[in-house]
Parts: sequence; structure tokens; C-alpha cells
Amino acid sequence: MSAFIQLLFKGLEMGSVYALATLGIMLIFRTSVLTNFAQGVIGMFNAFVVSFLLTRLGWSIWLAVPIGLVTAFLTGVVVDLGIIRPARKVNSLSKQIITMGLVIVIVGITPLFFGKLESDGARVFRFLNAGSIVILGTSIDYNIIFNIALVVVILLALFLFMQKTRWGLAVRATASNSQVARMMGIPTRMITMGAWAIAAMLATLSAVLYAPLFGNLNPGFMTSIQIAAFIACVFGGFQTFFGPVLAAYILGISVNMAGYYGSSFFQLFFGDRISDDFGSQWGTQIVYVLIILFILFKPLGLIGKKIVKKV
Amino acid sequence: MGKSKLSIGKGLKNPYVQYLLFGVILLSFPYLTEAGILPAYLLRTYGFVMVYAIAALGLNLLLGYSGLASLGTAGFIGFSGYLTISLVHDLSLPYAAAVVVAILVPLALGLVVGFISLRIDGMYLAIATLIVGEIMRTSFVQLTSWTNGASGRGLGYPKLILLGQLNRAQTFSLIAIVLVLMMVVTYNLIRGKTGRALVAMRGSSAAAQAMGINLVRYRLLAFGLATVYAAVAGIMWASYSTRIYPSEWSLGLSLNLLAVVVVGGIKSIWGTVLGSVIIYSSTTIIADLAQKIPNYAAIKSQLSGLPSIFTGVLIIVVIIVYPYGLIYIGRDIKRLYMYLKSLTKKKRGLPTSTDGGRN
Amino acid sequence: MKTEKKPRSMIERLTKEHPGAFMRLAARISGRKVIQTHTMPENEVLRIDDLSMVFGGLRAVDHLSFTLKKGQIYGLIGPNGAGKTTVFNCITQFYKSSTGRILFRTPQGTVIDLNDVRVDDVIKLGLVRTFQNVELIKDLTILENVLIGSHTEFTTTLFDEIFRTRRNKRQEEALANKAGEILDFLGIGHLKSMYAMALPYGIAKKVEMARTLMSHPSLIILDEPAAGLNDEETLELARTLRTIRDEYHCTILLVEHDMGLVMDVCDEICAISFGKLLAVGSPLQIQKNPVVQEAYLGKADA
Repeated sequence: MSAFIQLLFKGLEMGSVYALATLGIMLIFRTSVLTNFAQGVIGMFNAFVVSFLLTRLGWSIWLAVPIGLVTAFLTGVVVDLGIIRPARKVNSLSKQIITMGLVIVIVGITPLFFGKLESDGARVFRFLNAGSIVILGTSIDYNIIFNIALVVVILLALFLFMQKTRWGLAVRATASNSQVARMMGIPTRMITMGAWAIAAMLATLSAVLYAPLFGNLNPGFMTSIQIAAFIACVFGGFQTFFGPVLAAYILGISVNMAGYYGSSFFQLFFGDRISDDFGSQWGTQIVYVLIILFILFKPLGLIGKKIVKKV
Repeated sequence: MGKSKLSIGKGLKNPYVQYLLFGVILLSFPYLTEAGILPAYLLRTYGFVMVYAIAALGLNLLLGYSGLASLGTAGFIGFSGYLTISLVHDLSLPYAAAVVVAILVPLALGLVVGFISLRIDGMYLAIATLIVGEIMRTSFVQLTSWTNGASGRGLGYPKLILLGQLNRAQTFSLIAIVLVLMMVVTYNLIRGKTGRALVAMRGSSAAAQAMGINLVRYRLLAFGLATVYAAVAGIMWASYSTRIYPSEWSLGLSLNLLAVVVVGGIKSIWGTVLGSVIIYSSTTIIADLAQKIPNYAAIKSQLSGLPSIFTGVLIIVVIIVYPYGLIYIGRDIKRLYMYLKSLTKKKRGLPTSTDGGRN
Repeated sequence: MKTEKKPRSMIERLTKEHPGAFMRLAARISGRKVIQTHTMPENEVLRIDDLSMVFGGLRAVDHLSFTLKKGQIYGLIGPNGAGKTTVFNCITQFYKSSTGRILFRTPQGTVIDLNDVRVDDVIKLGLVRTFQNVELIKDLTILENVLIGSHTEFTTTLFDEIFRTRRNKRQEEALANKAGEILDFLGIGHLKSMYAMALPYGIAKKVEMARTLMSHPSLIILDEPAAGLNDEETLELARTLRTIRDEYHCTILLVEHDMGLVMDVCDEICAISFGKLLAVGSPLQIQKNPVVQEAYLGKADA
């Protein structure tokens, strides 16, 4: 039981990391009609900024992370102004490929700024270093609780923003039909830029929360998060914001559970020889295969509605 | 591509003649390096350029013709590479038999992945292949008993049934022959029923469906073909390099191959070859140039990303500025020239476009 | 005596104990349905039977029924937004209709419900369509665009194509010749090596028409064939439609706004409004029908 509670909270923490990345991808998908492959690397780059402030300049995490979010905001704006806006006339496949090109560029730029930092071991610290609380007889770190709560607050704030404010309505209008929205006087360019900026901040926060779990940073450390976020989008269905976020949490919890229970299950049947090779990756892979099977029977995801194309 | 407008020029317009000629030029490389006319390192560089081109041809079928992107190419190349090595060394199969298995097994895997993702929507293929590629990469790292981990595993130059043990130069020639064959196969495919169906599907999915083209089947076909090309590239890669390492089959390689297609030329066989030359040699040239920077040793780690910055920027710039790829520059310069000529001479005779550059 | 072996795997058990379930599963994955045959009178080609199509809360087609007889040129008319194109999309399976049957007689004489057929299998039954906004492939020449129409006619395999076997060459040649003939018949044979980019509307429509003729159709469905054409081209279209009907022995169903063309060329007309049937009859009957007049012109005062 104790292990279960522990796994549940760790899963929720992981789910929070996934949820942030997922929401960023969805925001860009809905406003710019492209699947953003660069979401993870944008977070990675700004996590390096945070790490630089923390380890080289000795700043407190409470100061470094907000500054990192500011640079993330700027990254998003630069990407939108410099790349996405000039490319607004190209088709959505080419836009998708542009974000793949962006992945290579950012992965190449990172060592230019932080190569030394990386080889010295770039780290991002936890928000709360000490202390734990006992829940149902299991001790859970304050930091895990903090991370989960932080993300829930951010998600709620964003949902409220989308549903209740004028700007949220403008985002939803742009997402539903950007041409008509522009004709109605909604500044869709501004909305798109804002979406990129917010998505970059979400990516960065997700990278900052994930970094302490990962260890020393490297340019590829967000790849698994990017993948998990994509899977969450597919699993939850690209049509709503809520579905993918829900899917991200389900993914986080089930990956953790499957990793623990799955590997002991696997060990029981096949012995140590094979489970050595697969190790902890087993949990992730088994969940992914299950999700693929789910999608085979429910192609539109958890909360999906079919969109009929007019011909 | 022929400059001459005489009867020889007419022969050169025949794509098969062009491919044959290209093959002859490639086959002369080993002799030219041996004679000292070309530097010896070119043999290594161009061996891998050709391997790039083989994989990228398949990717071009997928991306250029059916409008689908794949990020799993590296994984499939690596998979078939390790399969070949394992079949030859662990199971002592002859090279030819290993080749067949190393094509069929990745193909089967590719078809399963493709079937699941394409049934939903074409967009999902890029995501699905990203995931599969990543799973394969981590598997290569972890399955040390099979891949020998970071120390790498080698095949050695292939031993063929009739020709016996090949040396380095002969392996180069083998790759050249395979590349030219793949170019011919690609050309045959795209000018026939399949090519038309793929282009139609990308141009108007509604019209394609109304004309009896099954979208899932043809998308799957395109992806299956791309997988076969990647598998062939993997076999050639394993045959040509001394050792292959798990770190080589990263997302970076898949993106580089995507860059080959985008930068060289969508829907163009020659564009793919050009793209391979540009991407592969430019990245090695930049890495070499970086070494000449004073104080290189101290900032080595900082500069490691320069080649990928170049490739990435090239992808973005080409898509925005010149979306069909650099191979069409020649054609466009010619058109501009004709246009300017017609302006200055004020004569009739607009240049009629006959060749859309589809070969 | 052989004893029944105990099934080992789940799939084996599924196939043995619930054959229906397994078929449904296979059908669901492949997207195909089990096709049953139906019956309808000899001279009928297409019978729309109580067809409805609902989008969300909107009833685009509302319990519609009409019948096409062999060799007819049949017009489907109605004001904007009446649901004409939706009917076409339901017939050709681009939309799956909410209720109703769409019975169709194949050239072989069997009658099937098109709802059981996948969208890309429809052409194989001899039913082919054009589109309202002319769906041509810009990256292909006019000839190649027309050859797309004979996609299902090719019997070559991938092997034939890769190695360019003689069979492949012969077939490509034969079908290209046929495409050339059809283009000549429509008077645009000289343009066949042009790319289908930025074509004048009249020519684009002809290319699309040529594409439908490549597949030995028994029923051609035309979505606004006269839209964007000038008067002269419309007159020519009327002649062409009759010639196609007579020479290719097919039935033609068309949606059209140009009343002149409809009244001139159609043997029978079905008028609909808001997805509901208003009237069926000869052009003259439709012209005189007060309900149709009202739908088009509004209720007369006094």
C-alpha cells in the first residue's frame, strides 16, 4: 500500500510535467495548425538558462525560474516573429518540418552557450529541498506536493483564462477558425505570438520540474517528455484542450505503476536475464503499446469528435 | 541535365542514360583515388553520401509524393544494420540471406507502425515514427548483448556468393550500384500508377478517393517503401563502416535525412542526391573548419553544434524561401534567362514548360 | 473419432465460439462491411430510399427518396443550402448517411446498398463523380489527371511497375491512348501535356469530365457542371452530356443551378428544399409546380 501511494504521487508529479508540455503543444496546434516538434527543445534551452543562473551565478531557485520563464517568453516571441510568421503561407506539413529544423538549430545552439556548463554537469535544483509529509502512512516529499499543486494552479488559471476572459475567447475563436476570427477584428497575429510565448513558458516550466528527476542536463533530456506529450495529445484527442491534459496525468501515473509492477511481474516470469536489458524502460514501453492498442479501436482518442470535411 | 543540344544531348535527356552515366562516374571513384587524382578521404565521405542518398530517396517518396513525414528513419537504418551483423556473425548466415531478412523484418515492423498511425490521420505518422525511433534507439543502448553497447559492433566488408570477399573499394562500388538501382526503381515507381496515385492523394484526397485510391493503402505503401529504402541503407552502412554504435541512430540522423530531402528537392531523384552531398559534406566541412579556429581545444564542446545549426537553418530557410528545393535552381535560372531574353529581344515565343522536373 | 481440440489462444477461441464477433472485428479494422444483395425493378439504376443526414442538430437531408431509371439524365435542383451536395456525398460515401438506403445496380446487374461500400470502392461499381470546386491535381499533366480516373482499371502489380515489365508498358500505353481519345472527344486533346495548374474553368471542368469517363461508368454524378461556364460553353455542355449518355451508355445525375441547362437536358427532375423533397417530374411539370416556384421565388403576395 505504501509503495502504491508513493507511486501514485510520483506518477502525479510526472503527469504534471507531461501536462505542461502537452498543453503547450495543444495551444500551438490549435492556433497555428501545426504539431510542434520543438516544444521539448525550447524547454531544454531555457532549463539550461535556469541552470546557469543557479550553478554559475548562485541565484536562488525562486529567482532563477521566473527569469527562465522570461527568457522562455522571449524565445517564443522570437520563434514566432522570426520563423513562424514568415512561414505562414507554407502548408501545414512544411510547417511541421520547420519545427523539426528548429529542433536541430536549438540543439546546435545550446552547446554554443552552455557547452562548458554541460560538461561541468548542469543541474536544476528542486524548489523545496527538505521536508516531507505523511499521507496514509507514506512519507511524501514536500517538493512533490508543491510541484503537483503548482501545476494544478497553473492549469486552472489557464482554463479560467480561456473560458472567462475576452482574450481567452479570442484564442478559442482563432483556434476554431483563424480566417474568420481575423475578419471579425481579432488580432490573430498577436494571439498566435502569445500562444508561442505561453507554450514556451509551459515547456520551460515542465523542463525545470523534470530536470531534478533527470540529473545532469544534456540537449536531449526533454526528448522523452516531448514524446510523452505527443502520446498524450493522440491519446486524449487533438480536438479539445481538456482531453490531452487528462491523458497526460493518466500517462504519468500508469508509466510509474507499470514500471514498478510491470518489471517485478516480468522478472517473475522471465528471470533476471532479460529484465536486465529492459530495466526501468519496460514500464514506459508497455504503456505506450497499450495506448497504441487503444488508439487502434478508438482512433479519435479519449475525448474525440469526428470532423467532417466538406468536399 | 545535358548542356549539349546535339543528338548526344537528346540521349542525355533519357533518365536511364543519366542514371547509368552517374553510376559510371561513381564506379570510377575508387580508381581515381588509387591513381592519386582524387584525395583518398573522398572515398569514405562519398560512400556515406551514397548511403544517405539511398535512405533519403525512400523518404522523398514518402515526403515528396505522399506528403507524410517520418522521424524513424534512423531507427530503421540502425535496426537493419544490427540485424545484418547479427545474422552474419551470430547465426553465420551468408550475406545475401542476411540482406533479405534485414529488409523483411524492418518492413514488417514498419507496416505495423504505419497501419496503426495512418488509419487515424496522415499527421500521426510523424509522431508515431518519432516514438518508434526513440524506442529503438533506447533499445539499441540497452540491448548490450545484441549491439555490444557503446563499444560498437562491426560487420566487415561483405562476402558475396560469386565475387568472394570484397575490399573497401569494391564495397564502395557495391553501394554505388545499389544506389543507381534504387534510383531507377524510384523513377519507375513515380512515373507509373503508384506515383500518380501518391501525387493525387497529396493534391486532393477527395478526388483520389473518388477515383478508387485507398488512402490508407497507398500511404502505407509509401511508408513501407521508405522503410525498405532505410533498411537497404542500413545494410550498406553496416557493410561500409568498421563499427556501428547505438549513438548513431538518433533523432539527429532522421532529421538530417529530412533535411536532405527538403534542401535537395522535394519530388526529385537528382535533388535527393544533391541534398545528400550538401548535407553530408557540409556538416563534415564545417566540423573540419571549426578545428582551424584558434584555441579550438578549449572551446571544442561549444562548437560541436555548428554543423547542426547549419543544417537546421538551411531547412527553415529553404522551406520559406525556396520551397521546392535547391535542385530547381538550375531550371529557374534558365527560365529567368529565357524571360529576360524575351524581354530584351521583344520577340514572341514564351518558353513553354515541358519538363516539370519530375524526374 | 476425432475429438474437438481445446482452442489455445484467445483469437482461436474468438473465431471458434463467436465467428460473428471476429468478422465484425476484422470489418472494423479494415473498414469494409459484409455486402448483401437487394432487389429493385429492372429498369432502375439508383434508388434513394428514405435518406437522412444529420450534422449535429442540423438535418441537411430529411427523409428523401427518389429513383433514377436507366439512361436518364436526372437533375437534382434546389435553392442554395438545400442539401444537394450532401446528397451526392452520401451517395458516393464521402458522408455516411444517418438513415436510409441507397440502392444501386452494378453493371453486372446485382443490386447493393452503397452504404455497405467503402468510399474508394464506389468507383469499382461503375459509379463516379465530379466535384463542385473542381478537384484536379496541380502537379500532374492533364493526361495524367485523366489517367487517375483509370486507376482501378490497371491490373499491374508493384512488381510490374518496379521492373517496367512489358505488361506494364502495354497497359500504360493503352490507357494513355484511351485518355487521349476521350480528351479529343471533349475537344481538349491538344492540351494534354499541359500541367493542370491555373486552367480556365471550362477546361478544368472538361478534364474532370474526361477523368470520370475513364472508368467505364454506368452512373456519372456531376456536381454543378455548368458553374463558371459562359452561355456558349453551357450549350456545348448540354450537347456533350447527351452524347456521353448515348455513346457511353450511362445514366447521369446532376446538381445544377443553371435552370436553362437543367430544363434543356434533363429527362426528369427532383426539386428539394431544406433537405426535403418538393416535387419530382418532367422539366415542364417542375416549372409549373407552385411549391417549387415558392421555394425559389418566395411566396407570391395576394
